[in-house]
Parts: sequence; C-alpha cells; structure tokens
Amino acid sequence: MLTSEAIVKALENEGVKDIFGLPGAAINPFLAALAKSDINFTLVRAESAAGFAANGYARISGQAGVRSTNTDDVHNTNAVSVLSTNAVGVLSTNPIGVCAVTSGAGALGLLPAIACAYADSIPIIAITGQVKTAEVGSDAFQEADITGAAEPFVKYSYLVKNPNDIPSIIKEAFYLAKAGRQGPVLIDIPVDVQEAVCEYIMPGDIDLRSYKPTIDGNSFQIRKAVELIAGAKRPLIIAGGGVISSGAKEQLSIFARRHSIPVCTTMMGLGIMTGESLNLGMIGMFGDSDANEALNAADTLIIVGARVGERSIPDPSITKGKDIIHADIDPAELGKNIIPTIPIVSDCKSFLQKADELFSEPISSEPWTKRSNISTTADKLTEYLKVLAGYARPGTVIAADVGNNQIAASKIRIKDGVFITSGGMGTMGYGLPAAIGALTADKNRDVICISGDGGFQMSMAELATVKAYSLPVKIIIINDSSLGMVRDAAQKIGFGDIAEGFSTDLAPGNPDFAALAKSYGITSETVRDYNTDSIKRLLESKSAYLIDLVI
Amino acid sequence: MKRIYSVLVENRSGVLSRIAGLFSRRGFNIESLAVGVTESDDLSRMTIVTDDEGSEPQRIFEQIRKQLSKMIDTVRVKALSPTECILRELVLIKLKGDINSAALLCIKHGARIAEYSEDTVTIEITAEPEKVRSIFKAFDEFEIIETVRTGVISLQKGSSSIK
Repeated sequence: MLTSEAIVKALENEGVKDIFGLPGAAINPFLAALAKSDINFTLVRAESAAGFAANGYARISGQAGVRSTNTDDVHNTNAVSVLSTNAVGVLSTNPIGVCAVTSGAGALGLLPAIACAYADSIPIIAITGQVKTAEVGSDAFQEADITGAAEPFVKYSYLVKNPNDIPSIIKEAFYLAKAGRQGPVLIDIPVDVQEAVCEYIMPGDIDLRSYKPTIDGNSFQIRKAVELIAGAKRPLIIAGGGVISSGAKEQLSIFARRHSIPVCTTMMGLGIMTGESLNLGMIGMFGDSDANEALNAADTLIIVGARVGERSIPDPSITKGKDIIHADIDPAELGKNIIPTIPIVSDCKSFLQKADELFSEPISSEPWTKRSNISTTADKLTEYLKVLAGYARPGTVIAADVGNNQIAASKIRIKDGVFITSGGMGTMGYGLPAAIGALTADKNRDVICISGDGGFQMSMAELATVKAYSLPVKIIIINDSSLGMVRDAAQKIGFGDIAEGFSTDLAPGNPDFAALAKSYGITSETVRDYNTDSIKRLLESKSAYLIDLVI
Repeated sequence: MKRIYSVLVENRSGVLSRIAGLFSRRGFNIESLAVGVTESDDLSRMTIVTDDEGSEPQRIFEQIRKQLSKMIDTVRVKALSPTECILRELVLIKLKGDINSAALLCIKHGARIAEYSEDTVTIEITAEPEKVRSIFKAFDEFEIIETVRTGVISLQKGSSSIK
C-alpha cells in the first residue's frame, strides 16, 4: 500500500469524517489519496483558516448534538419550545479537528491556528507536507523546519521518517491530542514518504511510559476540598474551558444547584449553565459586574478547569485571604498563577462527581449572592444582540472573533448555546473560519459568526469557502470602522485616535462589506439603525447571510 | 538557590531541543545541562542545574519540575538540592609548558595527564563543581590555552534512585 493511502486509512480508523486544508506540492500525494476516500475535504483559501476551521470543528463535534428540527417552527419568537431541555444527541466518536497543508510557507501559515488551539487546549491534528527526506536541511524550495517552529505551541509533533510508522504515529497523535489536557499535535510528512510503499501494521493500544495523565484526583485532597466547601460561608465556583472539554457541563450544573453555590465562568467557560439563575456571568477585565463582585466577596473559590489567566483575574492579590480549591487536569497549572490551598490534579468531571458523592447533604439551599436587577445602561448594540439571542434557536453556535465584537458577543445568552472564540491567543480572523468548521461538524445547528470589521478582514477570503460549499453561515460584522479594542486601549494610555502616525482607523480602507458578500453570491444587507427586522432575515435565510452592522 | 534536576527522557531526536526550548521560552535560566544515554539505549538522562536568585524561588522550582514532567518525552523528573546529590564535572585543561612541572601539580590536585606534546600538556580532572575554580587557580602559573567543562552530572546520595 502507498503511504499516502495508509495515512487515509489511519485517519479513517480514528473516525475522521472531515479535513480542512489547502493543497501544495509537498502534500498532494496525501490529498490525492484522500480524494478517493469517504472523508470530506474542505478547500479553504488560506492555511490559517484550515486550522481555525479544525478548531471550530473540534469544539462543536465535542458537544452533545442538537436534534434536527422542523425549520418551519424554528424562527418564531417562541423558538425555545422547539427543543426539549435535554436535547442530547450522539457525541462524535472522535471530536478532533484535522487540517492538512503543504510544506514551507503553507505550514508556517498554519502557525497562528496551531498556537490558537494550544492556548485554548483544543484538540486538532495538523498534517503538513515536507520536502523530500534527502532534501531536509538543504534549504530546499518551500522547506521550513515546521516541527521546530511549532514546538512552543504543540502538545507534541512528529517528523515521519519511516513509512511503516504511519499507523502507530497517527494513532498516538490522536491519543495525545485528546488525552489529559487537550491540544494540537503536528505530523510533518516528507513528500517521498507519502509516495513510498509501506506495510500497514495495525497498531496496538497506546501505552506511553512517558505520558500517563491523572484522571481521578487524589481522594484525600478531594475530601479536604469538600470539608472546606462545607465550612464556607461564601463559596464561589469559577468554571473554565476545562469543564467544557471534559464534558462536565451537566455535572457542574448539578453540583452547583444541589448546593446552591453561585457560578462564574471565564471566557472559555461561556456556555456553562447558560440562563441558570446561579450563573453570575463572566469574570475578568471584560466580565460582568455581578461575577466580579462575587469574586471579591467570596471566601472560598472552587476553580475548575480554569488557569487563572490575567484577563480573568487581573490582580491575583484579590484572592489573598480566600481559601482556594483548584482542580485541573494539568498539574503545571496548579500554583502557576496563584497558590491554591488545595490543589487537585483531576479531570473536571471526575472531580465534580467524586466531590459531590462526599457530601451527605446540600451545604445550602440559597445562594449567598444576589443578582443585581439593575440592568446596566444597555446600549443599542446590546439591545440588538439581545433580540438576536431571543430569536436564535437553542443550540446555536456563536463563533466570535476577537476584540470589542467578542466582548459584545460574550453577553449573548442562548439556551444550550455554544460560544467559541480564540480566548487565550486572541487570534483575530478566527471567527469566520471557525464558523465554517462548526457548521461542517454539525449541520443541524445554526452558526452565527460575530466579527468586527478588523478581524473579519483577516479571514475575509473564506467567504469563498462559504460560497463554494453553500454553507449557511450567518455573519454579523459589528462595524465601527476601527480596531475598536485597540483604540480603547490606546486611549487609556493617552494616545489619541491618530497620534504620531499611530492609527486604529480602518474607515479609509474599509470595503462595502454587503457589496463584497454579494460579489460572492451571499445575501447581505447594511444595517445602520439597529433595525432588528434584519435579525429575522438573517436567521430565516436558508443560505449564508451577512449583516454589516454599522455602529 | 541552586537546584539539580535529573530528567529521564526518551532517547530520540528533537528531545534536547524541546527541553532546552522549554527553559528559554518560560524564562528559566539554565546554569548547566549535561546529557547522555543511560544503561538502557532508549533512555537518556539529563542533569540540569538552575540557580534562581528571584523573589519566588519555590514557585519557579515547582514550575520547572511540573513543566519538565509535562513534556511528552519525559519519563521521570527528580528535583533535588545540591546537598542531596553527588555532583561531578569533568574538566579538560590544555596548558603551555613542560610535562614534568605539570605532573607535580597533577599529583597534588588529583588530576591526570590526558595527552601531551612538545610544549603543551592536557590534563583532566573530575571534581565537584565548586572545586573547579580552585583547580583553575592552582594551574595559573601555566599559560592556559583552552579549557572545557562537561557541565554537572549528578546522582542522588544514598540508596534512592530516579526509578
């Protein structure tokens, strides 16, 4: 068998259904073999988009599915009734995103997406072509040391030298991407290896002496944590992306409700307990005041699957005097940014289950926090997005880009909704390709990309992918004709909007986004007055739709 | 505060660069790093010495240990203080001078003559790292042409091992 065919076979064995990528001389043998298989290939327009799409794909295929619904019923204002509360479908057998690009510049173009997946612990497999084995190290055309370049941002990487290693390397790569703390794994395959004949030996179970992640926490530590929670007056749960990636959303909700412990999330934890009264919202620099106030007032923090990044807890000294229980699957996160009273190395789901079992009775029947009913002076954008949230179908995916648009999108609360964004790396241009990946993963969901005019232009070429595959992606560009968040930050440190050649003003170069979409055959409109009828048209459209929301 | 990290890793290509890269990108300073294959061909052992003068040496020490353990190629990490270890370093010193006068000093300082020529002598010394400086001093009546040190290697004192 050709090694290119062996790669396809190994991917099929891992349950891969979709791959995002872009061809090129050094990856063509594999892509040619892939074309003969049942795996769908989505041709994107830039390598980074292949990686972002794989990211969106991984995050949606890792979610419980949403039942297919009768679209006629969907877009009325009482859409909530369409789905039952527990619309849990079948989880994809292997929720990992896969992308494949060529060597050199192609592979390097994937770096932002690899780093993005690493920062948010998203399991993706990046397959890159490489120049011929004999040419490696000779500065050949389109040669780049991609395993070297990607090293700081991958969980692990392989440079395949022996064609017979393909089955075991691919199996191990998929295992590593998912096991313990999830993340990107890179497989670099020289083009002559792809063309070589190999023997396909079915690999055995993965058993790495050097990698054995701890899934179940130390029971003594969990017992101490439970005692601490039982004695707490003002306990607060801080839930991060780890809760979502370990499939512990339901578990967390059960735990919090049983003990009436209020919950805050990080940005990566958005989507946990959406709409539940115990959920106080997001903490941090751009968080909700209820959440931040609770963080200040709490006497015991139960941090689950969150790494206490400086955007979530900008000033770690506010945790002084509080008891901190920190549970995370990655031991290196415990004690990195704050020193916990009780560190627990554990999968989030396992921790929550085991902790809950140790309580003989609920610690409280009333949360100690009160949600403020004073609605912050809602601006027109917030109101507009609230209407969107009201109309959106349960289970809708919000694929947010990066910047002020992301913060606005983070306030959207949709029942069973999924919020995906580039949380850690803040990679502008993430939104549209991630939405493409999300929609490819689950065609029964509505997917809305919320972007800014800055970030959108970084991946705008993917409108072609939307067109080519007739993907019904809904796009809202919150267009303030500037790099809004950068402008705000610059003004804070005393820069004007344009000072000494520094500018965040995008107006002079911005295209007419609606006309641009039309040139791709995508229905579009420019909205200048926050007219919410546009939302109905966007959601009711059976094909892609773009709103240029001028603010 | 000096720390000695003994790291057992898979003996495959790219491992050294992964470990070295971890130190540089996380801003941990390496004082010395020595690596060689162990009694099993598929395992290498690194001895990494760090000296942290910062305000939170304990946190950095813990982070280095955890980040090293997290590497997929890492099989085992043992982090110890220098007093818990036997520490050794091999030094080669090429001197300008005559073998007879060098020989006397060698006997006095426990050094060996590894090689000599008409007007140079290369001596080898195995010593604890702190002693290396005094050995350089002892030979400073000679003109030193060049020197090389292996970096510290270490095993834990007593019956404990990395396994």
